[in-house]
Amino acid sequence: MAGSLEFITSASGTSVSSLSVTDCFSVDYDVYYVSITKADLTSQSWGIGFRYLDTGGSEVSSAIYDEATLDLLSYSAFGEDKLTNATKQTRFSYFTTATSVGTGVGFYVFNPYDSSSYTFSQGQSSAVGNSGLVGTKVIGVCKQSATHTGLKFLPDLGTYDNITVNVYGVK
Amino acid sequence: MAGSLIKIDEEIVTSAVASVTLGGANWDSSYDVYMVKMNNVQTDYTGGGYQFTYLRVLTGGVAQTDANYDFAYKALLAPIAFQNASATNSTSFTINQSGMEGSTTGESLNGIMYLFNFNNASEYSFGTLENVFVTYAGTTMGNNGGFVKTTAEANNGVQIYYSSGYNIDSGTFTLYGLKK
Repeated sequence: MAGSLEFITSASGTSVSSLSVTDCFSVDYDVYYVSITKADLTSQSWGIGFRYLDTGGSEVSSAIYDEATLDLLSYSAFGEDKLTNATKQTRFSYFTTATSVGTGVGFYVFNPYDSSSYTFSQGQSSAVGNSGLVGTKVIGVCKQSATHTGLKFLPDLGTYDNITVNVYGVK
Repeated sequence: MAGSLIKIDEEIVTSAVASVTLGGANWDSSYDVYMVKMNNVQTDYTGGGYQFTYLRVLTGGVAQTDANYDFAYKALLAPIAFQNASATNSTSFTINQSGMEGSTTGESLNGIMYLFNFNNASEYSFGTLENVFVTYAGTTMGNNGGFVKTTAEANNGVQIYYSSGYNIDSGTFTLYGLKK
């Protein structure tokens, strides 16, 4: 019997300020799983943020993104980060400046291609900041009932030394 | 090569129903871990207050109503401080604790749950929850946590339902098995 988690596409970049994963969403799936197992950043910052791409391939940059992130820190009390009406999903994973450290990020995207629904996301990450482990539990909503065809990843600061993104459909 | 996430059951709701059942007669006991996907779930509640979505496990295809559900989760809210929600000896597992899924465009519940140990009659059944939704007031929320059914029994599915007197209007509920 065929499985229900189906690989769609992979994208990667080296020394890039952003990475677009185009045409990864379609009518074929309602729910997607996105994994990032290789990424390094030139600045310590919230390294995994993203915007959705519209049907023309342009990034959706309006102030319509809500987000809540629970920060699980190995070296300090847990933290809370909240955003409403932001211009992107911002705090899906935190990065150190050290190279060759990597990260582990996984999140689901719900209804990106459905023009009558908001696009939801939720996931978690494990990464290393300059002070130690930074894990996250995160939710996000793009409050726009529109068709989204892809993702554009961009950090708060710096550029990606490298980044690789895999997208799967949950059939 | 065959995949490892195998669809077992699916309920697509297009008109009002009091509850949704996954498994039961369609349950496949050959898995240790199951995944439940909830997608674009909306209800007929439009009252502007807070209502709840619940889960119960099935035994022999029957939803269990005994007071043996414990749960705890962290509620993540975009505009205000996060909250803790928990209970012991409850008669159900509360999937989300806030009114939502009303008629406002775009509002819906979406989430993933994993079910563990459901086929083991001599131990408890466990579950984890991650979801995201928009409340009737337009607030972005999500829950991360888990539950346990503190009864040593085999379970063969789950029932998902909304607060008494209200219905699930639409949504897709899918049960998968994680193949070893």
